[in-house]
Amino acid sequence: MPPAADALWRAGQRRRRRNVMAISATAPGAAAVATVLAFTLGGGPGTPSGHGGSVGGATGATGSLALSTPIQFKQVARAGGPRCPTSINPMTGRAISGASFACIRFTGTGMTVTRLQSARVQRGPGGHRYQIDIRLTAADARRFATLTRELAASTARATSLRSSPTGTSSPTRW
Amino acid sequence: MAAITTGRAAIPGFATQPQAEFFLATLLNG
Repeated sequence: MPPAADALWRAGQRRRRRNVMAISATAPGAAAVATVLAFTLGGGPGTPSGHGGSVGGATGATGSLALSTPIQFKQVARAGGPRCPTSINPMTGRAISGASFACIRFTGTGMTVTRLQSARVQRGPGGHRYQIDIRLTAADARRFATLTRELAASTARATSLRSSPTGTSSPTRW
Repeated sequence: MAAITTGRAAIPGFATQPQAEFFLATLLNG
């Protein structure tokens, strides 16, 4: 998984921009699930310190959390070469220079999350870096399951989705 | 392959805890 968070954070210090970052899912046996987190950083000048209280504690928050910027989970059809035609680094939104960067191609299927059940900062698996562990609401967890099930069924092309009875539990296409 | 049913995901790659906390605050509070 590319260590893109540092680049995102630095970018957020300068101006608002749309970023796309691959995330890891924490389900045994589903390592090949490839969703992508897309969001806008509302960064202005400042330092990264002093925000612990604003998130309900030094390392996280629980309860039904409203997101200021919705998170989009997108299925990834393929990641890697050849380079994207636009030559834009998907992690930073900047033009690629020098060595090529893995190009992420989406299937066109995804879902948008506007609330979380909880979010917290924790050490990464290697213990040297940090990650944000998020838990989706029950309704979004069902949509997420559908999204990843669709991906497991077809990893290299866009998929046609079934509509749920309520119309609210299926991923969307865009 | 099984679908993810736990509803958990991780945004990885922060070098320091303050960076991760700042990012989380931005995500929640703008």
